[in-house]
Amino acid sequence: MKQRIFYIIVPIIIILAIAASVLFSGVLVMPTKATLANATPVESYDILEYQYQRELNILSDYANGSYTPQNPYIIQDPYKANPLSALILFETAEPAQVTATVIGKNQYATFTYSMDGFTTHHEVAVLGLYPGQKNQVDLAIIYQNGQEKKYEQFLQTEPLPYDFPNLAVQVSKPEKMEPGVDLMISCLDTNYTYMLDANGDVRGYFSNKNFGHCTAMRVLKNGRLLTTGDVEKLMPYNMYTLWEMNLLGKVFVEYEIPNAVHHDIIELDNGDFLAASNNENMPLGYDTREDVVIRIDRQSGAVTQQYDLRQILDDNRKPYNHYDPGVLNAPNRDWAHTNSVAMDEGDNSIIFSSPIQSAVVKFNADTHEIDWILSSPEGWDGEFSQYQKYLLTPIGENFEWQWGQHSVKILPDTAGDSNTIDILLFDNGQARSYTQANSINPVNNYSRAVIYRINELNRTVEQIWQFGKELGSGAYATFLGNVEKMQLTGNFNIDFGGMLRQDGVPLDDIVQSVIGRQQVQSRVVEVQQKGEVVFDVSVTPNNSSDAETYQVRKMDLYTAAIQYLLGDSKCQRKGDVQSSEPTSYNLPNFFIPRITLNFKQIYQQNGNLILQGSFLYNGKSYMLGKVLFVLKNKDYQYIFAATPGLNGNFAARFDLNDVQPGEYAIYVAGGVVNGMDALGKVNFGYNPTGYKIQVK
Amino acid sequence: MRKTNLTLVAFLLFFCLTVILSGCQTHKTTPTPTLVWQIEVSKFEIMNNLSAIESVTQYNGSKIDVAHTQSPDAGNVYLIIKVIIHKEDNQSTASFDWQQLVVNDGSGNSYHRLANDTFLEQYQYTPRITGLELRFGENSGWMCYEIPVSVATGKLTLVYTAEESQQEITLQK
Repeated sequence: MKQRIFYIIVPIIIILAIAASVLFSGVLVMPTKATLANATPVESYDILEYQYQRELNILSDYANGSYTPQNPYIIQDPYKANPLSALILFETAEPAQVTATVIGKNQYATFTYSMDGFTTHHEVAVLGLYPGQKNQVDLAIIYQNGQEKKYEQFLQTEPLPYDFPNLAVQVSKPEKMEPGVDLMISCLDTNYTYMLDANGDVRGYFSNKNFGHCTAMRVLKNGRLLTTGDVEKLMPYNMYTLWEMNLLGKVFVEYEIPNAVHHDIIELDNGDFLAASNNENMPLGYDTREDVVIRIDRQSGAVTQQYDLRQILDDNRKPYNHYDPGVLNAPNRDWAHTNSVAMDEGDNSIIFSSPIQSAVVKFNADTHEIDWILSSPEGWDGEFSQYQKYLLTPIGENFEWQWGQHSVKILPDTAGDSNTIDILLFDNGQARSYTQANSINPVNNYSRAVIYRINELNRTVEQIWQFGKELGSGAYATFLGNVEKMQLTGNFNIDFGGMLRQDGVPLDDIVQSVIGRQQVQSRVVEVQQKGEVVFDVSVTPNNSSDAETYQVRKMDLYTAAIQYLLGDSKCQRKGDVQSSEPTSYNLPNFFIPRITLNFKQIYQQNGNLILQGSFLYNGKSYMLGKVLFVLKNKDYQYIFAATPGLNGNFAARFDLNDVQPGEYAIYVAGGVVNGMDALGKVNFGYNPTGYKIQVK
Repeated sequence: MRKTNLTLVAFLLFFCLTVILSGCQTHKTTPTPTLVWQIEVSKFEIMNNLSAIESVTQYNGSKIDVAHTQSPDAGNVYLIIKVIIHKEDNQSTASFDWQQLVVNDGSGNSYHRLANDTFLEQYQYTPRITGLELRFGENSGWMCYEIPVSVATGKLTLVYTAEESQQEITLQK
């Protein structure tokens, strides 16, 4: 009997020992030839190279034919960026000037643009086509002798995408509106940025959702649009890159910003940029975020100044708000959430908005000394009483403080008093109190645009105009939004940007919407100063949870940024690239196949591996504790840490310059936390991604 | 008993294999070298309707499944084709004309691509190929036709006519 047991037990032990030695040797996690053969290669992509090559391809294709105004070369969506745009190319025998007109539904929706100068080679940008129909585009050719000839072209466009938001125009009085189009800027990469005409019709949109979200898009003095690019540092909107681009989608300059930019960026008088940003070590190497204002040199793209707002305000002040996702032991805190920057170049001071603090602060750019704080006096006592001397005293009738505000701007002086400064902002009205006990229920709340006149000598603040309170909770937007005063009409364009609704009832839970669990809608209203609404459009979700509008900006559809020649010059890249170096970690010697990745982006660019996507553990999304990507072949292994975000999202840019050349299989390893404590129980996974990369 | 089990297992294996293989659809291409634009069909599917389930977490934390469906007109089915359209002759000025790309059935009827098939991406047919005029290069993605159910099981051909020549691709089931 014993002998029989011996003959059974010993082989089992031997088999188990062999299995254990195989299991723990790491051989099971080595990429095989088959692993590499079956994996999908990571492609190289650089938008600047791609667009330049595409321009050369267009020119090469154009060179095959002989194109005239009667029979021009037309390429729609030339950069695969705005499907409602086109380029028309042709030659004229004599130098001529071209005027293009996109025929609209009425005079307010018809757009005309003349190219500069007289030439024989013509590249005419067409913007403002309607979706899903045949568009008429008239070309007027004017020769130097005054002779004019007209030609009609018809361009068929595609319908809008299935998930494009629903637009319901309540009011449209084009004759009273500011001319131009409304640029409706998305907040998240699940929504589109698009252009509306005075009738509320879509006349352009960016099909690429990965750029330009949750940051003010500004029209620069050179006519280009300034916006954030498509490389994410921290989900969902801290972006490594800035683009100078046009509405065709062409990128002229890419700025690399190690600190990442979010929420707001402005062009200063000398052309430099001022932006809401972070400490450059955020998020994995710094304990707070979104609390630095940076200055960017336009020529070099370098960050030349960093204003650390923790040196200006106490980051321990904690007003009641709805921004905080309530993560215990979170690696960094969002105590400021800086969402607006302005510069008073008259006295070299900076104004920033912190919606979490419900405070607008002006400080001297040289000394960092606070000038004033526009804020309710609530919560500035006790350990924060040192700031009371900066608070302004309200005067006048109907005064109300702002709460959770966005979009702070300095208006031109209309008072004729050098001691006063007029501040226009969007008052979201979130909670309307420092404490939860006194906070206002969203069903009774309202948002508004408001102008405050601050007397910097007397230290007083007066409310001199507002619009929005009369709309009640119907336009209450817990977060997002902006207001701008427009130049020609003096009208105000107001974006009630983040209206959280369930069955039509207003809610306040921002985090649920940001992670896609709660619908968000928006409303844009153009109003005259006297209060007459001249445009009102509601934006609701369609096959998506997102119909937010981060900001609205009235702009000319045609600016100088469309006057260039294809292939004329290569686009530029400026600034300093920041990317993650390899790290160390004790990985298991066997796979734990729990992780599924949905990549939004995965590509190589200039010696970097860029990744963005979402991470599912056992098919579900969780709060991410750690996300590691492992590049491995039979000789080498490199581990890189990505930046985790809420709801399983991650972003990363890895530096491959020190990685030995060769082909690598890419694996993912990571832990998820069940619950909202970052230090809670971590469930770990480790498995192949199905991708491989060739490092040169 | 053991023999019965083996027979059952063998039958099940054979059945599964048959089901898997019958689900695979191939196609026969008749390339025409003189064509400026060459079309290649990499996959196609015939669907009575399209459906997708989206799990949506509600405000109170509970989850509900939201069903998305897309149906053709009564009596029709969707023919969803993944194509690669490549300009062979880079010296030619001819652009790709979507109006000339049709599906023909065995009875001589022609069907054009749906004017709006952007819904394909909602049902994971990504990327969808643009419906804008193509000028050069390689372009690929899914597109959708709507055909009568009565012809769906018969001979179907994707035909592109241009420059007095034709490319025909038989969609073999």
